[in-house]
Amino acid sequence: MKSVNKKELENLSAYLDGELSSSERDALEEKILHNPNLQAKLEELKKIKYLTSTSFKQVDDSPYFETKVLMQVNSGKTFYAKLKKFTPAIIVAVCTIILMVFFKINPTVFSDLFKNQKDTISSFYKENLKPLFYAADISNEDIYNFAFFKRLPLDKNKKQFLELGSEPAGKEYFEIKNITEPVSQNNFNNFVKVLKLNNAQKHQVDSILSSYARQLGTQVLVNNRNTIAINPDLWSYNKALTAELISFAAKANRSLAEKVIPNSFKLVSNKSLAEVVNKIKNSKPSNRYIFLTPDTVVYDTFVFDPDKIKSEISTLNNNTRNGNSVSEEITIVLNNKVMKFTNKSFNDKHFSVYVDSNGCRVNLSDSQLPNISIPDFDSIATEIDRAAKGFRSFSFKFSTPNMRREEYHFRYDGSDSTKNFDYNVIIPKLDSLFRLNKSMPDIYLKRFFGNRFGFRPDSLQNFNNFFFNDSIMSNQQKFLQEQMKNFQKEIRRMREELMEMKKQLKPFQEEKKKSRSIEI
Amino acid sequence: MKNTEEEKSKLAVPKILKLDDDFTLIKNFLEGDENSFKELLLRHKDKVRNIVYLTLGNSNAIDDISQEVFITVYKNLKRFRFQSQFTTWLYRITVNKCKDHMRKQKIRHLFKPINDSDSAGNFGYNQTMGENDIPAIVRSAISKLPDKLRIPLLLKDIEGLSYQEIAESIDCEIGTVKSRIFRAREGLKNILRPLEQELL
Repeated sequence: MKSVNKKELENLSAYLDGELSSSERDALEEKILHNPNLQAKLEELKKIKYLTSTSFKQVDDSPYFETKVLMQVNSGKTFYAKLKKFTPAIIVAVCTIILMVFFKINPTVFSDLFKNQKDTISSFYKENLKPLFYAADISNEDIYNFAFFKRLPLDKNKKQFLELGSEPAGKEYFEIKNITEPVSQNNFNNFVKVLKLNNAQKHQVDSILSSYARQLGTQVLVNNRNTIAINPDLWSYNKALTAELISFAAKANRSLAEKVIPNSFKLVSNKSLAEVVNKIKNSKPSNRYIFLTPDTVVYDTFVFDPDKIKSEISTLNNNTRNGNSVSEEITIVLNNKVMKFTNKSFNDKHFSVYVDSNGCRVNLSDSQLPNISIPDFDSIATEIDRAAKGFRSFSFKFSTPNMRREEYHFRYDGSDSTKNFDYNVIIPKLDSLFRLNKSMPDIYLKRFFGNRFGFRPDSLQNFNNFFFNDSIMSNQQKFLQEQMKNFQKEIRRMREELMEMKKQLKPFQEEKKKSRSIEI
Repeated sequence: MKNTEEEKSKLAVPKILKLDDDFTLIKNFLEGDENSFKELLLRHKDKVRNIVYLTLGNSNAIDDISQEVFITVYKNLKRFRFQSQFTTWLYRITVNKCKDHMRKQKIRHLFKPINDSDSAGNFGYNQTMGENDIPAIVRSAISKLPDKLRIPLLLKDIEGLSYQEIAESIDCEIGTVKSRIFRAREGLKNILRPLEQELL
């Protein structure tokens, strides 16, 4: 019996359905005739086809079918049905139109809303703002440091400072810093000493500083909500104060002033300087303040009663004179948790704020700084800055002698950090001297520095000379030389002894050699 | 005389249209004659309803799906390109609507409780019908075939569509239709083998 392949079976099925071409049909019929298997399969397929085709009745007629379809078709053609499709778009369009009309009628609704919010926040942070002097006792030293180092203490313990500065690119900034290392507190006294001021001159410089102190009182305001308000006029006052101090120094003792402040004469000879100082001092204080709050930095107006402030300051001064301190303890908390700018920099249109654990720096744009309408103000301001930078200061620390290491640590703080200098000196056998007289460092200082104020880092060379040319050090060298001589003597003696021993050993060795030869 | 002329003219334009006249009806519809669509509907509604019934095996949804088919036709007639027969286009829409319905049913079925009896898809056959109801047994056997074999078999054996029409309706080659119909018959034979003596 012939087998049947799949192709033939498919053709058989198609043959049954009348789907073969005439040639295919003829060929298949020929095959069926000679193949009983195909015949049997065809029969089988016929039965299946019959069963399939007879198993289904026509589906029952559906009454009103066409009516229903036509109704649905026609309902889709109505205006509302068409509109229904566009419902979402229509809603969006209507809302847009309503909003457009609303904003046309109330164009300032959002700005008002933001302004209200801003005012609420502002009023919260502005509440209870008081001049900085209530929070920190400001001394002449502090005002003096503000002039030359642009640094004002913010708290009573003087661990937190407001510092003004400018970045290399020229952008002005202010910074609130926690200062861990103690800062020199003797700059103003040194200034007075170096210039050899008489009593009248001392009073004069005191009055200059106190006049600025009054003005500065209104320039920096603080409150117990961690807000610091800084009037941009502070920058101008800083320049005026510096200029006035330099002028005073130049007038008081020109030769010494020139040593201390290299550019002072050039500055004082500038005729516009007095005009700049007068203009700044007599200008009406601005009501605009930069508010640094834990949330944000804003540039806003703040009006307070100057008479009230004046009376409060005078009360404060009187109380201070009577020995009653009325200073309030207000410490500005600086850390990332309080300052919500986190580690990221905060940027708005006017400010860039950078916060880290040790401080917060706010870069200002030029528009916030006061504009002094004097033609060559900028050049004078630059000269004032240059003169202030040329001004030298130092601090000198003499650490407690370390008994075991016999080592002494000196530190020189220059006018900027690049000129700071650490110096370790090993001075053996000086301990007893220190123990005898604890004021010894001062003796050395006086001997070395004298009363010179304008100390330069280069002159540290003298410092070395001072110690190494010291008689004690010379004695030490002599002592060492003697020690060395003794040592050389000892070596020489040892060498002689060794030679002696070698001589004694020689006969014994020869004897041993002889005895060995006999054995051979 | 007039009456006889009128009668003659009536005879000259026979009202009974042939299948080829689908194109004329469509053209008339596109020119704004709404009655032409009604004519198309009357002409093809039974076929469409049957195909839906055969494809789904569920009489509940026949009318709904058939109505959807004609609404789709109504909306899309202006896109008809007169390149194939209207019926081919109509059957393709019908089969596609049925496939969409089955897809939805399968998704719904996933969320149905297991014990919930579902008569859909077995052409109304159940055990109580008795062993002598041969058409019901065959319908039940056909319902067990996979869709891709069942639909071509029924379109051929019940509706009498040509392989060409089936291929266009289910969007495949004629050779595939030929193969599927043969496989469907073989499958049916295997399902019915226990009843071979009575049936085959």
